[in-house]
Amino acid sequence: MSGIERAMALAQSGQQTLTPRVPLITSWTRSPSASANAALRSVIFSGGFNNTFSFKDGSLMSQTGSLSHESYRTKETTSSKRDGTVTYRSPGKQLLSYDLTLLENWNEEEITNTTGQTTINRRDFKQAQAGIGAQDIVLGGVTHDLDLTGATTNQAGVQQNQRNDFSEASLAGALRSSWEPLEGLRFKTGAFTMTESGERSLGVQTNPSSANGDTLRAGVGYRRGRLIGSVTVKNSNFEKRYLDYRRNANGVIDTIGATEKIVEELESNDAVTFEWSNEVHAGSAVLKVLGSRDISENSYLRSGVGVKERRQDMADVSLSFRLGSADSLRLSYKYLWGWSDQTYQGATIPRGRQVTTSQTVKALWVHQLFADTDLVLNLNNGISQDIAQNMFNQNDRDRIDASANLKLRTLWDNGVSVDLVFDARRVEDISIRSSRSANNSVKDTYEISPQYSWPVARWLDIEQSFRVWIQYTDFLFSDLEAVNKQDDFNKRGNLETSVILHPNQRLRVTMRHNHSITLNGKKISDDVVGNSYYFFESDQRVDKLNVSLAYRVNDWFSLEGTTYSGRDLKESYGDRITVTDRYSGDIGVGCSVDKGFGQGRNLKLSVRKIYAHGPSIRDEGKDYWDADFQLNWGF
Amino acid sequence: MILFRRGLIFAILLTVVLCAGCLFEPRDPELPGTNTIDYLPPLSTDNVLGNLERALAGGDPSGYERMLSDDFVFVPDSGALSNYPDVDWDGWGKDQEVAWVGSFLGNVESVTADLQAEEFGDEPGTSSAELRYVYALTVTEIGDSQVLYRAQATLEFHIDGTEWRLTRWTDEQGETDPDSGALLPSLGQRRGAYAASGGS
Repeated sequence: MSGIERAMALAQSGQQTLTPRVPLITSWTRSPSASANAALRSVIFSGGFNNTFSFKDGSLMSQTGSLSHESYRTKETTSSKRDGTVTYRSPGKQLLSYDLTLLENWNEEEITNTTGQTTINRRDFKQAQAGIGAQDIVLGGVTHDLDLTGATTNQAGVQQNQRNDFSEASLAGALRSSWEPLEGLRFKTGAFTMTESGERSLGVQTNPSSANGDTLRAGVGYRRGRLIGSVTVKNSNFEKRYLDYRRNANGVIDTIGATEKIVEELESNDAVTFEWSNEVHAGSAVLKVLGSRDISENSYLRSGVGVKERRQDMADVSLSFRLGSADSLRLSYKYLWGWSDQTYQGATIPRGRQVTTSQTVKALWVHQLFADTDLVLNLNNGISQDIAQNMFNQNDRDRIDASANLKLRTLWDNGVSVDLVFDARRVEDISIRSSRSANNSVKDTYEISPQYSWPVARWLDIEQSFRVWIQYTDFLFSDLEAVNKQDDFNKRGNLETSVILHPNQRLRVTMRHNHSITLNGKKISDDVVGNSYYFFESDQRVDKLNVSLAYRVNDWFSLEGTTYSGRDLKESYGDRITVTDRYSGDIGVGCSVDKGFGQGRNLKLSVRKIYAHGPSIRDEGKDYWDADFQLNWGF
Repeated sequence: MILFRRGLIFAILLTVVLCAGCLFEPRDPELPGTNTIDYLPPLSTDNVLGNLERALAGGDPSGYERMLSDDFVFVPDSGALSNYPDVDWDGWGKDQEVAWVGSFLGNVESVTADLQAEEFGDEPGTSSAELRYVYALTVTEIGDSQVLYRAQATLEFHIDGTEWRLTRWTDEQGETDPDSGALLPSLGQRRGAYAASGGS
C-alpha cells in the first residue's frame, strides 16, 4: 500500500486525520531506444534517450536526446546528427502559464563528388526560449489571451567552406481578443509584434543584424439561423537587415566577377489578406461561398530582385444537396485570378505583369444503384491561362482540362467486391506565341479498369484487375509543312492476378502475375470519309511473376522468402524490325522478430539477403543485406 | 418519380458541363514560326530527358510540364536545404515545379541544358526507372551574366498510362566544373532562390 493510500485509509477509518504526502516528482519515465537500418541506398545507426518528469503541481519537464550516423551505398556521403532538448511547462488550467525550452541541433555532412572533391557542411544551432502567457482574461466583457516570448539563438555553421554564423536575441508578443455582444455574433482581433537583433557572419564579414515585424488581424464570425460565416482582414509586415551574398534579378547568388560578393541586405514585406466565407443551410442543401484577396509587396535594397508585387483573388462556390434517399449531388465553381510584377533593381519601370487565371467547374453525383452497389460520377471541366503583359516572355498559354469519371463499386456480404471504373479525359495544350505553338495538341485519354476480389475459401483469396489505357494525340498544326509533327496513339493493357494461400495460421503464400502490353503508332493519313490510318511503331510485352512465402514459427519469430522474375520483350518497327528481349529477377531470404517485453519495451528485427540479376540492376543492388533493428526500452 | 429525379440529375449535370465547355474557350494561337521545338515521343526515359532539355533550351514551360507526372516530387541536396531552410521543400510537387519553371524560363535570356552530362550506366526497368546522372546547365541571365549549375541527381520515372514521365528529381550534390575546377551549385539552389523571394 502506498503512502497516499495508507493515509486515505487511516482518514476513512477515523483513527487519525492526515494530509497525504505527495512527493515532488510524481512520475519519471525513461525511454532509451536504438535502431540500425541497412537498405539498398544507405546504412543508418541511431540511438536516443528520453526522460519525462511529472511534478506534484502538475508541471512537466522533458528531455530528449538523439544521435544518428548515416552512410550511403550509392554515393560517397556520410551524415551525422545530434539533437537534444530540455523543456519545462507549467501546470495547465492556471491563469498564468510559462515554459522554458533549451535545444541544440548539431549536424555534419561529408560529401565527396564524382571528381573526388570533398566538402564538409557543419551546423551547430543552439536556442534558449522562455515564454509566459495569460489566457481567458475577461475585461469589460472582452476575453483576452496574452503571450510573451523571449529567445536567444546561436549558430556556428560552415556551408561549402563558407562560414555562416549568427547570434541573435528576440522578443515577441501577441494579444488575441474576442467579444460576443450577441449570441451567434463574435468579433475577434489579434495583434502580434516581434523584434530581433544581434550579429551575423558570412564568409569573412561580420555585421549587426535586426528584424522587426507586426501583424494586425480583425474579423467577425456569425452563426444566425441558416447562416454561418466569417469575415477576416489581416495586415502584416516585416523588415529584416542581414548579410547576404550578392544576388541577381532572379534572387540567385551571382558573385562571379563581382568586387562586392557579400552585401548588407535590407528586406521589407507588406501583405494584406481579406477573406469571406459563408454557408447557407436549407434542409439537406448547403450553399458554401468562399472569397479571398491577397495583396503583397516584397522589396530588397541590394538584391537584383528589386521589388515584387503580387495579387490574387479567389472565389469558390459550391452547392450540395440530396435528392431522395438514394441520390446526392454536389456542384462547384472555382475562380482564380492573380498577377505578379517585378521592378528589377535599378529599373525605373516594372517588367510587366505575369497574369494567371483559372476556372474550374465540378459536378459529383453519388447514387445507390442497388442494395450493395454505389455509382459515383465525377465531371470536371476547367481552363487555366498564363498571360505575360507586354509579351515580356513568350510563355502565354491556355490549357483546357475536361474529364468524366464513372465508378461502380459493389461489396457483397460474403466479402466479394467488384469495381468498374471508366475514365475519359481531354487535355488541350495551347501555346499562344508562334515560337511555341507548333506543339499545340489535344490529348484524348480513355481508361477502363474492372477488378474483383473473391475470398473463395478461408484459406484462399483471389484478386484480379484488368486495365486498358488508350491515348490519342492530335497535333493541331501537324498539317503545316513547317511543323514536323505526326498525330499518334498509345495503347496499354495490363492484367494482374493475385492468388493468396494461407492453409494454416503459420503459412502464407502469395503469387502475383502481371502481364502488360504496350502498343504505339503514328498516323499516316486520313481518307475522304474521315477514317484514320496508323503505322505501328512498337509492340512491347512485359511479364512479371512475384512469389512470396512467410512462415510464422511462433508469436514473435517468422521466416520469409521472396522471388521475382520478369521478361521484357519489345519489337520496334521501322526500316527494319528491332527486337530486345530482357530477363531480370531476384531472390530474397530472411527472418523477422517482433517481441514485446511488457509495456513500452519491444524489440523488432528484420534481416533479408537479396540476390538480383537483370539489365536494370546496379552493382550495389546485385547482392546486399537489407536489415532493420529497433529496440525501445521504457522504464 | 424516380425516373423524373434521375432525368433531372442528368439534366443538371449535362447543363453544368456543357455550359462550362462553352465558357471555357482557349485563345486563338499564332501560327507556328520557323523556330519551333521538335519534341520526341515520351516512350523512353531518354526521350523524357531529351524533351526536358528541349523545353529548357526553348524556354517552353508547357513542354517541361508535359514530362512531369501528376505526383512529381523534387528533393533538394543538402546545399539547397541549408541555404534555403525556410522553403517548404517537403511540399515541392508538380504545381510548385511548374510555377518555378514558368518563372525561371520567363526571366532569363537563355538556357542550355545537358541532363545527361555524365551517366552511370543504369538501365531503366519495364515500368519504372531510377537513374543517376550528372546534369549541367548554363543560364544566361537578363543582362548577359552567366550562372552555371552542375550536380549529381537521381531521377525516377514511371509509365503514366502509356507514356514515361519524370516522377522524382533528387539532387544529390553539387559537382565540380570540369573547366575551372570550381564547385558548382545544383539547380535546387535556383528553386530555393525563387521560393525564398516569394515565388512568381
